[in-house]
Amino acid sequence: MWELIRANKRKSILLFIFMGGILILLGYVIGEAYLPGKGGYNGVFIALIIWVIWSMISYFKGSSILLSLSRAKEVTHNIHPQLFNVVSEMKIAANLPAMPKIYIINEEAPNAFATGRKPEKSAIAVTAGLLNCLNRNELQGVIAHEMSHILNRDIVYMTFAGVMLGTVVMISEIFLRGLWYSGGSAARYRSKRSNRDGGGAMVIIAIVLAILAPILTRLFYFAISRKREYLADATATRLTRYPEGLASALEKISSSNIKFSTANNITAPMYIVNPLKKTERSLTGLFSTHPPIKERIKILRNMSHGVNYNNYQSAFRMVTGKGIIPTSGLKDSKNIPVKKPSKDTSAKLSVKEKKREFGDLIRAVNGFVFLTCVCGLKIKLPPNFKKPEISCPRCKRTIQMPLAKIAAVASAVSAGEAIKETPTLEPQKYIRKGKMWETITCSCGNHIQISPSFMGSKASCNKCGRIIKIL
Amino acid sequence: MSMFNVVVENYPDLKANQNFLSLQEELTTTENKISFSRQGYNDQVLFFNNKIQMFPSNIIAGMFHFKEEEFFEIEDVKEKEVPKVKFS
Repeated sequence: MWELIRANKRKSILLFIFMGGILILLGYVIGEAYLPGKGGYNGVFIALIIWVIWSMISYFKGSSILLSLSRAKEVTHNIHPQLFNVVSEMKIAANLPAMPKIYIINEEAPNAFATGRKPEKSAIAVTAGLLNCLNRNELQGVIAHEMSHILNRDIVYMTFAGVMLGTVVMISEIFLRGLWYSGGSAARYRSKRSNRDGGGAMVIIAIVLAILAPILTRLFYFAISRKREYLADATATRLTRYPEGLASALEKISSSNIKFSTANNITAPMYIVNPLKKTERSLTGLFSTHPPIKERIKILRNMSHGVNYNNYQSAFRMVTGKGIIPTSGLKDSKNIPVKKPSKDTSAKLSVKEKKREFGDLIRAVNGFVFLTCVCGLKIKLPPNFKKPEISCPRCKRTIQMPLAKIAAVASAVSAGEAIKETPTLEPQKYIRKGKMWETITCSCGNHIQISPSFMGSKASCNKCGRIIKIL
Repeated sequence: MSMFNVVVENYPDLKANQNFLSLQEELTTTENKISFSRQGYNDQVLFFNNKIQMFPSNIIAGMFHFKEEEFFEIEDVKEKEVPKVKFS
């Protein structure tokens, strides 16, 4: 894996020289078209200023913008233990310096992405639908793929490349539109001032370049993006040692036809599978951000001998007839066998139960508090719930509402922070007097009744959640 | 390698129970974390050893007498035994 990072760095420098060259050329030619003789350098200067400012914004604020654009909410262990565990397992396998933050997106379409400018400050976001439809091993494959993007530094490079592409598109767009609406003012402006020869030719060159440059950079960007997806698949199987997990996850994700509502053209290349799939055929072309998913699955399923990069390379060659991994990444020749999958710990649920679980997950992410009545009914309280007590809809018992907890969770959610485990209150002690009904008072003022058959060692206050030890 | 064998014959209902599922999840993740730590360590050792052998880094490694590291492997047979989690 670490060999690949270095190979990637070298390739990325080439990418920047190429894309930067196009940007500078474009700036120069357009500047020259407006002000022949001295405009060229001004054009380059303006182009670079736009690029630098845009890069700064996306470098420092990019991941938070992306996460809020896709309406992702940060979660901790208590909301989805399995997801949290799988991420920390992969963090160990990849030797990342810090645990990535975990986000859940309120979205039924299964998908996932990773973001963050460096491995220390990374984040992984998955949709609630993904958690709902994958089992543990498949989830592990998806997380490993996202972790590989972090590990291979794909995110930083794709961000800068994307900004460069955006700058090229923006400058050409401004130039072409300016030309269109002002009726060729650039040409007129120029011809009034000077009668140097070659000026008119410059305008034509600028027009041609403004049309071609966005197409060229886009092709380049998409080619890199597709390659990075394959490499992330290769690294992911190396991390999990289990290619089938990722393969069947990709199969499940691609077979889902639920529409993704919060994805757009800007965020699309970040996801594990293109969220804006129209038809599978149109995506195989040069203008797609992701490689065809069937091909990715086929490659992964061909890796039955082992999971190192050489195995991925030969499986890739078998499917497409080409190589994908640079030779410097192929130096680890030690054979790594495929591992057995770990036990699946997801509950076996019917379709209806799955729907319910999905709803509960979205509610938990959005700050709902769950309360179970003595009769077994699960009550889901929204974050803005204010009533101090309600009667259970099923058994009509009066239930005290944990208002402090609801308020704490609601304020955490509205501030965009992760919901912490309920604040631990100092436990209380109570010594039983005899074996009959007894009423004790919690220090929050709530009365708790203990029945004669109460055998446990602790009771928890249903108002503030404080634990009371019964001796 | 399955490290924890969970025995639940006496309680057939237990397998579907929510608490049991979360216990199972914790056992699985503990097992995975152990095996991924070994794997991560061995991956690093492999990378390091490759670096020592290969040009141009082998020149520096030779100059400063870097030695190849050993992989982590369990030699004691007893340590390889699977811990049992029993409900009876």
